[in-house]
Amino acid sequence: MARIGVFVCHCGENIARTVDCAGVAAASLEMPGVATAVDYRYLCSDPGQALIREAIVKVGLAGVVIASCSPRMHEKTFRRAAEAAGLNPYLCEIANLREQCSWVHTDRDQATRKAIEIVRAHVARARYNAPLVPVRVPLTRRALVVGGGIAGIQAALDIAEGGVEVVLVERSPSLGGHMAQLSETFPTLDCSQCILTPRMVEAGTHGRIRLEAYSEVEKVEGYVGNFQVSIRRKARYVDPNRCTGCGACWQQCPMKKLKSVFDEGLGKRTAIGVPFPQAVPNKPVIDRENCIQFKTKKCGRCQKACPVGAIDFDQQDDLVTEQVGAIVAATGFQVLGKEAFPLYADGDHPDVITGLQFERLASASGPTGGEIRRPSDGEIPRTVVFIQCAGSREPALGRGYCSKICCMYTAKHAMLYKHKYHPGRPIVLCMDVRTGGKGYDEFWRRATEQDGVLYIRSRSARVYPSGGRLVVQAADTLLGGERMELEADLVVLATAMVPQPDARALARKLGIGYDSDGWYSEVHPKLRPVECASAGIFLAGACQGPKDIPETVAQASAAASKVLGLFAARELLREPLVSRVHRAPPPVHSICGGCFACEQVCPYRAIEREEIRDRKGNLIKVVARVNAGLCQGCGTCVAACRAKAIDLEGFTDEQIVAALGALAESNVEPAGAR
Amino acid sequence: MDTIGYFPGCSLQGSAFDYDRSVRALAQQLSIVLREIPDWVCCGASSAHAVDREVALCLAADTLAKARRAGLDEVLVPCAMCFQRLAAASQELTEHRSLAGEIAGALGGPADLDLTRVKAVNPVEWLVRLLPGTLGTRARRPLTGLRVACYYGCLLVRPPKVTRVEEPEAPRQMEGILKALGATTVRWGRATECCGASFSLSRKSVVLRQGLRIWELAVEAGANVLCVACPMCHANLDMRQSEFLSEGQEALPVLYLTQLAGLAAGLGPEQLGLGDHFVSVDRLLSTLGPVGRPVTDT
Amino acid sequence: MDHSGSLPTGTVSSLVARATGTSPLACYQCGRCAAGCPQNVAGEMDLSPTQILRLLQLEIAFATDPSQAASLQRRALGADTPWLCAGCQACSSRCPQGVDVAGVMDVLRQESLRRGLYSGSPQARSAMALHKTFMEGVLRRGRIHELTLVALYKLRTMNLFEDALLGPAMFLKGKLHLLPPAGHDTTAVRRAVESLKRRREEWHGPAAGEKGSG
Repeated sequence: MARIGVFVCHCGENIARTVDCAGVAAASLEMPGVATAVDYRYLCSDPGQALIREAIVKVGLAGVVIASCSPRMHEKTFRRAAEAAGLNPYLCEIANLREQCSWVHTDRDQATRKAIEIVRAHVARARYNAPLVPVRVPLTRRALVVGGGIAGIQAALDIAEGGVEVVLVERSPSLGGHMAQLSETFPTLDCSQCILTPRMVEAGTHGRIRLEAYSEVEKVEGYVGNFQVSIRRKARYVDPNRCTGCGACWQQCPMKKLKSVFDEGLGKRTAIGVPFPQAVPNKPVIDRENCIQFKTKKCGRCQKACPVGAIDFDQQDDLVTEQVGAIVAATGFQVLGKEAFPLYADGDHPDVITGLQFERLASASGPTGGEIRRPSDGEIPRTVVFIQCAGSREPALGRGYCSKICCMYTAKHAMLYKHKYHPGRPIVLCMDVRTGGKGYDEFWRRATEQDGVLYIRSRSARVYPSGGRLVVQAADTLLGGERMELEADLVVLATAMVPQPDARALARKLGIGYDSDGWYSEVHPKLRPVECASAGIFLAGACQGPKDIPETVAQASAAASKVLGLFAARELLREPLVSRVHRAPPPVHSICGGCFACEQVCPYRAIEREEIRDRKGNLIKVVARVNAGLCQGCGTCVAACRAKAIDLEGFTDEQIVAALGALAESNVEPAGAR
Repeated sequence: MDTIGYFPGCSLQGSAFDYDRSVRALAQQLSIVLREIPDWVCCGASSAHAVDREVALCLAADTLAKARRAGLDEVLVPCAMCFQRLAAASQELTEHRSLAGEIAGALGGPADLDLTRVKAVNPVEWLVRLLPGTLGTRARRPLTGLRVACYYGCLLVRPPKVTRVEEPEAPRQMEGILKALGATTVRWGRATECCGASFSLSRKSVVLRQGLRIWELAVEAGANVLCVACPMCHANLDMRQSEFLSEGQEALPVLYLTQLAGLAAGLGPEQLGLGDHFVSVDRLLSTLGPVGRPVTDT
Repeated sequence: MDHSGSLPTGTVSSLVARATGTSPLACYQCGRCAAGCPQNVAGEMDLSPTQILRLLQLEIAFATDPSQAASLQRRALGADTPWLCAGCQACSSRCPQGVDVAGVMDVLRQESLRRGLYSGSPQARSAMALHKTFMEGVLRRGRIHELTLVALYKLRTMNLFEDALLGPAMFLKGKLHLLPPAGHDTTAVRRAVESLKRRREEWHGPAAGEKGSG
């Protein structure tokens, strides 16, 4: 008979308040196979763990059941304690008396009876626990970073500096992301490009960073330590090896009035070109949609102008495959466009702009050279109304979250406007001002106290044009809230940060989760904030949720350190709680019939086909095999297997039947009655 | 010939008889039969829901019941207030089906009376639907020279779950109809601002203030006619216009959507009740060309 | 978010939640309703719609303190605001939190009449008088005859001379019909109203009741 020890934890008052722990221990002693049972105030404490270790040695336990909190909390703690006393850690079993019993019940007698049943089921299955050995997985020490904004740049540089090679994939023609578009950054008002471009250049020239700009992740296969990633290099129609970035091509391009994406539609660009002068790599791309040569075959002026013959209209997309051991998703965000706001001048008025467009107006490299001029007629606005929370915190528009950065950048915008045009009157409509961050509240106070920015506590009800200006309907809710109609020359909407439009599609490629808004999900919001539930994939920046630059950079460095930590091991150890296909000596080989129903249902593509051959190499049969590196132990294949040829280690049929049997036998009568 | 139920409502039997006349004439011109709901009663207007929720629901339900008993599934409701009350009742009953059964019973049945089957349709929806086949092909007089400010007011667009309007802040359905009929439409900022109708009797200063606000922006946008689809809006903007305008401010004719569509369809001003407006429409009519070739090629 | 399930019994807020499907607690006081309300201007509403919602929030918070709650209810029900609401629904269709503010005004009017706590100001009284005259006319004759409505309303408010000049002009335009149309039977409607009121009382208890939190 197995010698099992049962240890009942009070969890201070958390369990003991509603469960009679001593009673549970006493009842456990009656259960078949139990050699010892004790209760203790805090089993996770050092003396608590010592108690378990001592019992294992002294009583000679062959298995332990810890009746305590959720296994998510302390399974590792107790398994380590068991291991320290010489027991295989997988012979340690957790019965959850806290989340699943004491916290959800109030009646002490009933809760105690339920606790005993829970322990009984675990004792029954613990008798069938087998010693397991972690799965060892080999490791490719290269990393992929998806996204070349500040998050991706930071993560790539940190990983590369740690001695690991990085493939950095950016889908637009240049590194830089949104940060490259910003004018000055809060709360220090330092020039965004001045601090960003050196980092871009560093990432573009680093010996251990392979930059794949104008490329996208096409497909991801494999698992932690062993991913195969196909990357589509989109055709630039410019040979990057020949191109010197001299600019002769775009100077000749006749399509000079296309709306600049980089300038958020406020400036002009040509059909061939780099998005902005400091682009990395400094190699142009042809915009096929708007190129006359592609439309009519009657131009080719850039080709004639190129001194090195780099223009190649026949270039095709190119697929490359990279082997990596870890992936950092740093794909960033978008902001809502003004067309999402019919309330504000029908969503199509030239003088209603987004915060990101204001950044371009305020930027020295922007379409107005840094002067704040309204798009409709180029006049300097005398009054600018800034509307915060446009699309954020508006459940009626489908978004309940706060975009987090808008309070600070709106204060900055109002300040920059006032600094650039002293007679100007900046008015901010806000619900409240959220300035959590070092130096942030001081920054906002400076906007109001020193620069005289007027804050009105109100959402706007409507903006409409009248008399060549814009009328903004508001109410000063601090003064009773009578309706007021403010006249403005420019209205700036702090539009919500939203996930990239294809964020969900990429998440499915990577096999990572996202929330109902489309932001990527971390494993634990507090304690594991940069890891995805899929091992080996990490998050950096705003793809996970709205963030400002300091937070983004901090998270990117955290993700990089997680990658380097993962790569510090010689090989990867994984939980052995994986599926196993039945194997037997010849002539049976396996009861697997080779139907591969398991392959169909496995969400992790962990089922492989194994050919069993005789000594001469003749094929005997093809059976399923589980790739332990990919298997996540979900058990779906076990349920699908008609031959019952698959078992899940740690959750074998035997164990589950034993647990259910124990529950059925006990008949849910008060324990004392038996 | 197509048939649709018809609920004129109290206003169209009184001061807005010109609206009633234009709807009937237009339907006839487009070969559509309007079947008036027999023995209909008032929709309850803004008073019923203001003071008694149950009366508001039952008055509207009674009309829906009478329409169903007459075998009608759709009812054209020219008055925006009546439309709103009937559509809101329909929506409430659809959300609470058991309530619908109960009220149907209390209103005298029959047992299979399904109040949720009747849909109230306003003239804007009606004409949007008729434009491609019927109205568009029969229009013979382009509305060239008209610069229309389409005024939606409140109850045609709000709340959107009742009115089925996708974009209540920037509706464009009337513009679509009138542009197709050859008119120019203007963009302006107060197309959905309230005219204050419910205070027409009890607090006249409200309607004068709101009327002036509406007039101001329509004129600023360059409109020479205001288009409405609600008898209360019309009363406040047409009948009271001389009261809210000061000397020197130019009067702006206010026409029903059905009157403008009727003109395009070749009907004469008298047939459309245009002779009885307070703001003269003569100058406006003189800018229109003769009845001739088709306006659209739809 | 639907919070309508668990508001204290007897509060005006619980009636609001029941009638509109949204609790006043959903309001985060952004002021958009106030900013877009055509009647929330000088000389009209005494409290902004935002403030009305705030009073209801306070009523919920202080529901266990009867004198406090009663005083908050008196302020909300006795305001001019509900009677000066034009029912244009701009607030309801724009509210970022999905609060049916115009529906709140309906409940306040109905409840202020039921509890006799309505505002006594002239502007509130004239709005009330119109609604009453209108409803009596509708329930008596089934349809509204404009001239009768105007005459009865003017008698009720003793405001005989406003618009005295408009009448003849309208008559000349054919816009005023002197004789009311034949009456239309409203017995069925009244029967349905009674049945509906009975049913609602069964569901929710006498008008002030509220569904339980379970």
